[in-house]
Amino acid sequence: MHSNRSDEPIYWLLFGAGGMAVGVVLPAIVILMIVAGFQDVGEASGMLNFHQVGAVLGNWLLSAVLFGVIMLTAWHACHRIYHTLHDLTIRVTKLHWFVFYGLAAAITFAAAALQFLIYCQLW
Amino acid sequence: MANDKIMKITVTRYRPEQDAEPFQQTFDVPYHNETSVLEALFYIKDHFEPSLSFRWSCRMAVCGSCGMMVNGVPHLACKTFLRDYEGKAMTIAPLENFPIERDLVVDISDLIEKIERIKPYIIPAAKDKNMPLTKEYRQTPQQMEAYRQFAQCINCGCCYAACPQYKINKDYIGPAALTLLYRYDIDNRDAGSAIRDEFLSSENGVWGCTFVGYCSEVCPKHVDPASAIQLGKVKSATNYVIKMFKPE
Repeated sequence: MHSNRSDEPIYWLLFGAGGMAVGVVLPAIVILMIVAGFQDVGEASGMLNFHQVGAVLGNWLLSAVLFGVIMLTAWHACHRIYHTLHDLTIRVTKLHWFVFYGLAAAITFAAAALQFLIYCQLW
Repeated sequence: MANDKIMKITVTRYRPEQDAEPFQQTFDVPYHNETSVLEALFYIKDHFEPSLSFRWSCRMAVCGSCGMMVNGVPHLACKTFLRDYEGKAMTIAPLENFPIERDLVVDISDLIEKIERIKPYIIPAAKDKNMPLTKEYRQTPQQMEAYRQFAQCINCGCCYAACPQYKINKDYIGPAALTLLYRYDIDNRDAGSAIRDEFLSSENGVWGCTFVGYCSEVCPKHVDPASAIQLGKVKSATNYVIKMFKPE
């Protein structure tokens, strides 16, 4: 009756951390962005213009925080959907696993790559 | 008794030597304010069907023998009263997710095996191995309070009948056994955590739980197995991270 050690803790810890990010940090960021956007709506000159956002992401601390929030939100959402499939009586297979955790990993890499490019002022 | 009310009670019957499959039998049972489901079954056995089989012993929610499905919900028959079903019909069936042995008697050997498997006893630390029997382990009231609730389990099997994960995967260790595992893990007299981690952290251990929480809802002793399993997940995840950085 031996059963393998589960690797679920990795996803569960990311899911838990993502829950905190989504519940606590993300609303604050969204509110800040909405306020900033309303204050000055100009696309080229407003507070959320391309260069302004580029400058925010050029700060290593802000960039790291935003990367953490984006990544954790992605893992949280994908883990939640993956496990909801089971609750909806859909038999999850290895394919589902690759699709959902693959999506989370893809978002993580995409965010890291884009932020790195912006940080190095290559884009 | 003249003032007694009558309730229609449908009971699942199964006599393996003569029935190909379980069937239902309905009885009109008189009851008063204090009649429990268990007493209703006594009445049926005494007045209608002497062959009706069901497990019982203490009649006071201590022994855990009389777990059964009442209107589809796992209950202890001795702790469930007909007055709470007034105006409704009642169906009594054997505990779900266990094989039926006879009438309302189910075979809970899988539950018993799992409880034995997780080593539900105090495993002393190496330094306590040779402690004389006359010397006692020290435990503060706070240390006892940490696990007291999880030690109230009477192994009635109601949580296994409620658990949708156990229903689809009989290898899942399940609520009662995982709760007991956690109860011994957090006991300050115990040093068996590392030995039990194999069961706690396995795919069929705490990670087999999707936190439906129905086990805690039906538990007649308010043990709250779902909470023990979630706390077990924290413990298992912590062990996992420690193992990642500290290989054996």
